[in-house]
Amino acid sequence: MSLKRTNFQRVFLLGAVLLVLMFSIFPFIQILSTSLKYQVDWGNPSLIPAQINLDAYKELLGISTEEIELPETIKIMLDSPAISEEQRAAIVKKFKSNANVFPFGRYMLNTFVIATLTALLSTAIATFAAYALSRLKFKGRSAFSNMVLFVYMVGGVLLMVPLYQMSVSVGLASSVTGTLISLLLIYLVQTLPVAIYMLGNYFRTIPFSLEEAAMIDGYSRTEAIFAIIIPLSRPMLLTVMIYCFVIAWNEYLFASVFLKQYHDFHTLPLALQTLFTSKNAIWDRIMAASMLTLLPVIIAFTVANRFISSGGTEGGVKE
Amino acid sequence: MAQVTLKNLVKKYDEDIIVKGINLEVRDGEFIVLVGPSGCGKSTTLRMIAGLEDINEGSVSIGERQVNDLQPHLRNIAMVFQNYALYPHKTVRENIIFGLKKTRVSKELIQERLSTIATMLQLEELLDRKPADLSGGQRQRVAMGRALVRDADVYLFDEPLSNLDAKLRHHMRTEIAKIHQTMKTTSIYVTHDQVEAMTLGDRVVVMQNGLIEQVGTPMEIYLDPVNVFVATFIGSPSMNLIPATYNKAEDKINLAELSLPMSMLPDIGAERLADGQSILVGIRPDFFEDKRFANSIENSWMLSEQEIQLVEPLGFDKEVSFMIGEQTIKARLDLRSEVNIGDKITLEVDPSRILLFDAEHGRRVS
Amino acid sequence: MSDFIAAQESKLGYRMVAPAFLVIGLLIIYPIFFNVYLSFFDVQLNGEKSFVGAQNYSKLLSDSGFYDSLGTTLIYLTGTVIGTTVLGLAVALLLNEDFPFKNTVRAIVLLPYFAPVISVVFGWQFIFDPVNGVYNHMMVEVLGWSAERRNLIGEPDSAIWVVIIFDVWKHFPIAFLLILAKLQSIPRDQYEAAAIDGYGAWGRFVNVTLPECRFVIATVVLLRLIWNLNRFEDVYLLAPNVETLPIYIYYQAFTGVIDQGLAAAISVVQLLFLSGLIWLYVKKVLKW
Repeated sequence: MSLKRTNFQRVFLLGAVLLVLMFSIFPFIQILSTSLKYQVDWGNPSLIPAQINLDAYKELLGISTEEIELPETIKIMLDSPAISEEQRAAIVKKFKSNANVFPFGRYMLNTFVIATLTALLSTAIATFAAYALSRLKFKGRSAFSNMVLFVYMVGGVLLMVPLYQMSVSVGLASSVTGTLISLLLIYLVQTLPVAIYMLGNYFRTIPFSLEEAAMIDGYSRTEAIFAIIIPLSRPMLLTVMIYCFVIAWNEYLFASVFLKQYHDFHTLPLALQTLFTSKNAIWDRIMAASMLTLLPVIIAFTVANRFISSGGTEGGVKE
Repeated sequence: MAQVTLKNLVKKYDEDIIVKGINLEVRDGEFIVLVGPSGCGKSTTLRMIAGLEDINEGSVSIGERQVNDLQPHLRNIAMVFQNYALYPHKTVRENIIFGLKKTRVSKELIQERLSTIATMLQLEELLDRKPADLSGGQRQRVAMGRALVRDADVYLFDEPLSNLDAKLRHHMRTEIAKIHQTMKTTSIYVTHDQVEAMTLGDRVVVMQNGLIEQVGTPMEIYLDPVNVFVATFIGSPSMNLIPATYNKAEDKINLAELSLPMSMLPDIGAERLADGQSILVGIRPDFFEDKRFANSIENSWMLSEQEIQLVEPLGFDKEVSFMIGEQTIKARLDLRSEVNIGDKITLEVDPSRILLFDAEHGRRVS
Repeated sequence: MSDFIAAQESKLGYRMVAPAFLVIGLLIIYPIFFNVYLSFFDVQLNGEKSFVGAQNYSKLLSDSGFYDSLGTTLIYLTGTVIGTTVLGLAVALLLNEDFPFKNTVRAIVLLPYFAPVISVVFGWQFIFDPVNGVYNHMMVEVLGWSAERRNLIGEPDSAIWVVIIFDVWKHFPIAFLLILAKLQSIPRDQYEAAAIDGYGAWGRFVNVTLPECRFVIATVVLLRLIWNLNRFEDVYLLAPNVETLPIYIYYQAFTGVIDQGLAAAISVVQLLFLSGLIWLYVKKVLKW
């Protein structure tokens, strides 16, 4: 609406925008601020740290420069020429590693790997299904389409018992690989419906004459899909991958059900939740961990944003 | 290069019969135009030849082989789409050679063909641009380039010029004609524009409602239409159709206050006409001559003292309207005839240019 | 001969859809039925089952915990759906106007939605922390609205409000996106005609904007109900003492006295509610 604005309205508008901005961004700033504060500073309502404290980040990222105090007896033992270099290193390492209580890097890696696998697998399966649903005619198409929609809405919580029981009876819950496979499958289940839905909608906007032209140009239907449709859908495919990635990254319920006993394989949500039980001691660590888990998503988000605003099918077909 | 044969081709959508049985033989190297109003089935026919639509009955053969069950990419055809269908994420160069890359042709040959086509269609400057950065006319040329660069058996054109403005359309028509002169490719061209049909086709196929009305050279269609539909569809402004009756006793045709003796029309078998039969007399506007400037044709049909109702100047020509009975008749005269509304002039018509149609069926009386 | 292309297409279609069909069929459709089956058994963590008929259902109908959780869920749903819809509408109206840096503002507004729950949940816990949090500081020291520091998250009665506000904060962007898309499609002339007819800003809102948006708002409400009925992480990680249905089910299934059969039964009940909502959605919304 470009009707004239009074000054009052303009001020009101900007004020409202500012309010909304602050509402949305405040918790993030709080997290950043606390992650950089010393313990005494935590209770200070000011968002600006009195002194910048990078210890939390250092510890989580494993770049702690603290000197570990080795007990006297150990020091003497280390000085003895009887032990080899390796033994010496192993002993020192043992003491050093005790200081590193929270292997943040490991958990981040776990979550990253499983989220990426989910994203790739889910997007691949969804692309073919979505293409078939949006472009090809076959009996049962609308039935399957409706099933996807229904399943999109049912969600994971209703499946926690049966899926768990299923993996128990198949014997997957008892081994690490089995559990991980179950988890991957379950993440597929969480992400596939929404991926199919999003990609289906997108494919419907690509003019069919592009595939016809490719077929005339000598490409079979399947070849045309790979040569034309997929390159053209790159922005959308990326978006869907990121969407699936974030869903897997976020997931707590099934991770906790399946991975509880395998500490080494915990994903971030699980690890952070179980370890930070006594929060009053380590707010800065928690906040730093929060910031670090936030980062990949923000990066992915910015990348996706840039991709979405670029062209698409412009210019290919006369409207 | 190959000929294309359509035998009893039928296409249905549920209960709707779009193409009702088409028979056509396109000769090798011929440029044939399918023309007709929207919905006559010409595009559907083209798409069946391309393999983009299923054939319900009948057959399509390209060369010696029947292609009904062959998928498009195996038919060795090329096609120019109405909305261009350019690959938006590829450059002009990549768009053009996309189909060529599929065939086992050497890289040098691809380059060679590319530059020939690019020069022919004036695309050299645009090779590295993407479709989004091109104008409509440029995109159309790229679409044509993509089709022409290949060595196909048949080239199909689906109303390629319909999205261009008049001037550009005119220009591209000439280009297409020139290209066909050079390349002599078997081409099937679909359009609703009868000017394109007349200027481009070696032969023209006039279609209506899923059936072929007439096949012939442009001149045959123009001078010798087989029924009222073809007669009025081709030619602008359309042929005048004057309602009249046949008087057997006097062996002449009465059109309101005028009469046309059958003796002037020796080629038409008057014995086929019944007394009192309703006739439509067809005379193209171009065939009226201003008596003052007419080449003396012996035995021409004279319409004396016709009062001019309307003058529409077109530059060199003008369209003048006068009445025969209740009917407005259009005549095309050139610059020499300076007429104004209300003037009375005498027009004459070469009787060999007069056509008779049965008013009930629309069929030509010959 | 006639349907050759159609037949090829069919075959290709089946092949392409097969993997997805397999996954969804095996891992979603089958478990739903299996869940119903399990609800008639007493099920242990290690998979041992013994048939108990409808006992799980009668147990849950007499379980006060179940009714409490239903109540909690109801309050949660009402609060979050109203909150996100109203805020989403307000922000959509706001961002439909022009002002500097509009795109950056838009990106920032979307941030809570895309941020992983685990990244922000602790931040929110900190804000409401009785010792360090800004909330208590504001309430007690600055505004004086409260006499003493309270642990909002610690008490289930107050925790639910924190959970509701958190959910609104996190999810209003999707409501905002859907409504904004609709707002931007309203032709300007409708507003201009209304202005000429004498309607001021509020009048135009009520007579042009709202009627046009009725449909998208209904969609948003329905979708939010469906999604929030299923929501787990957003509640559990922030305040596990707020027992909405999914959380209650989780506790029955994996903690304390493990009773997976009961959990299955509750899931079936929830599925029924959900199906009702989905049916409503399909009939009313998708029809369009």
